[in-house]
Amino acid sequence: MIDLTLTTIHTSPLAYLDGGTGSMLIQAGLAGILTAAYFVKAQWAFLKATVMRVGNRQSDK
Amino acid sequence: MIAPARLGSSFRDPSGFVFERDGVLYRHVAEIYSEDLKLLWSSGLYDSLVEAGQLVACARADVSLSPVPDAAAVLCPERIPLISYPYEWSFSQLKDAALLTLEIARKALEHGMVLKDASAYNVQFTKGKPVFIDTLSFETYQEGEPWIAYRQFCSHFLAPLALMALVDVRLASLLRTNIDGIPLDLASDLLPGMTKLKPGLAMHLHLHGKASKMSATEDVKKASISKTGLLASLDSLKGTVEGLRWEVKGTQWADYYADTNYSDAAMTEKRRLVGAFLQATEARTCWDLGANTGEFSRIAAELGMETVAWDVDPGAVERAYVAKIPGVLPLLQDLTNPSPNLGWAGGERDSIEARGPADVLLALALVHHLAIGNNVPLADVAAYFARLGKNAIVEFVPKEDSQVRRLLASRRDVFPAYHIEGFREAFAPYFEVQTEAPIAGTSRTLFRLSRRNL
Repeated sequence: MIDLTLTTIHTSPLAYLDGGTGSMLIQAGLAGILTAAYFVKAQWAFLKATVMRVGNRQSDK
Repeated sequence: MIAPARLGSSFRDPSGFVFERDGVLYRHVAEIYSEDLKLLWSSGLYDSLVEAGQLVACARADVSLSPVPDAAAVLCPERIPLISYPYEWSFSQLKDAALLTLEIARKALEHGMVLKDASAYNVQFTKGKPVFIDTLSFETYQEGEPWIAYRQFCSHFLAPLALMALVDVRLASLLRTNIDGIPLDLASDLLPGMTKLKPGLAMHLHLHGKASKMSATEDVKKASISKTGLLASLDSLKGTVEGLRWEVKGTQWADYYADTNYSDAAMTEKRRLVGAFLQATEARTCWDLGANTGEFSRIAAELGMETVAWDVDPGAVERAYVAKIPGVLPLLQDLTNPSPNLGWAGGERDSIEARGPADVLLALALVHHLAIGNNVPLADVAAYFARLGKNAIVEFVPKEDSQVRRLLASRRDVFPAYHIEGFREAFAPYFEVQTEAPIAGTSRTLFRLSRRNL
């Protein structure tokens, strides 16, 4: 899940903003941590939804 | 016919610009943007955003309307009744605009596009909610590309929201002196040290603020993020913004109605008079100056007027926004130091005056604050009102009134001309009195004025 590969990017001719060197690098640096957190959050939401579904089924009985 | 003119704020993006022709706004789309525009339509992104009320709808117009020859298309966007700016928004308005921007960025990625800028000025308020107005802000997503608008988002939204929520809501005024967003190192310095323990703020503001001081290097071309990484960054920003909260506590004006000297009967009579006076103006637009939480703006809106409730107090504006009064746009405005023309050549952001005049002004229980609270001569108040509105409904509050007595309690009365005759005399060169009526149960008088042709 953690993707922090460094490859040369294509810069769009329409990218008129200066993204800022520091901002672009910190963004790439943080992406790994944030992707891991995003994955955990998604799994947790899935787990919670599954437990709720099972709980609802049992209470229907 | 008036020669078409590019708007003073529309010069940064080579993809196109906004121009006005015969009073109608159009968007010129340059040839270099044509492929991205096609993708915006064909990917379903445009329809998805417009159907959700998140992006302003545009009609196709004749390309010959463009003032320059290379138009790939000309679009005619739906009209926004009044353009407002982030330094005029309450906390929740800025927060809603931030969350909208992030949601649009997420949706764009889902459709194979990316939001190429995240300026707060790309969001406007209409029908009580934010809407994105820049149709040309989307470009084709290229795998590995970081979000070029990350810094802009943090400066335009996250930094001011964090300062408003965690330091002082009045720090929103920094957006007026920094129209391209609050510098991240400045925001980081102003925030309490304990905010470094909050992961979202630690990453996106404090660390980001330090990184923003880095000098340009070729290494940036090697920065690469997967699509999942981008979605994760957007999700983290969303969580950080959602975690920022500000609640109105005893502010100068937000509790005003609980502390007036109006009896219920007098308040009912004032509402009736204001309604009747407004109706008589047949106005289509109303600016309620010193609107507080918008109680009287509501009357104008119910009469079908596009109404703006301007007030100096961030708490009052916040309450008016949260109340979602149909047809009313609450905005922050200090009339003693109103929004000026700002930006490049003073032409990017319009002053309050340049966005007028309104068909009718409502100035209820306001004049004494300007004339006594801020020492503005009554004639100057009248002259300024005449620049802001074609008609005015003005409440005159005499010195006998407890609210004026309170203003004079701790200062010398240096206002010998502040009385109803002085008011009539000061307004006479600018306005003609159409009607005036005492407000029963009070010592106040309500005037309906129409501007003279000067």
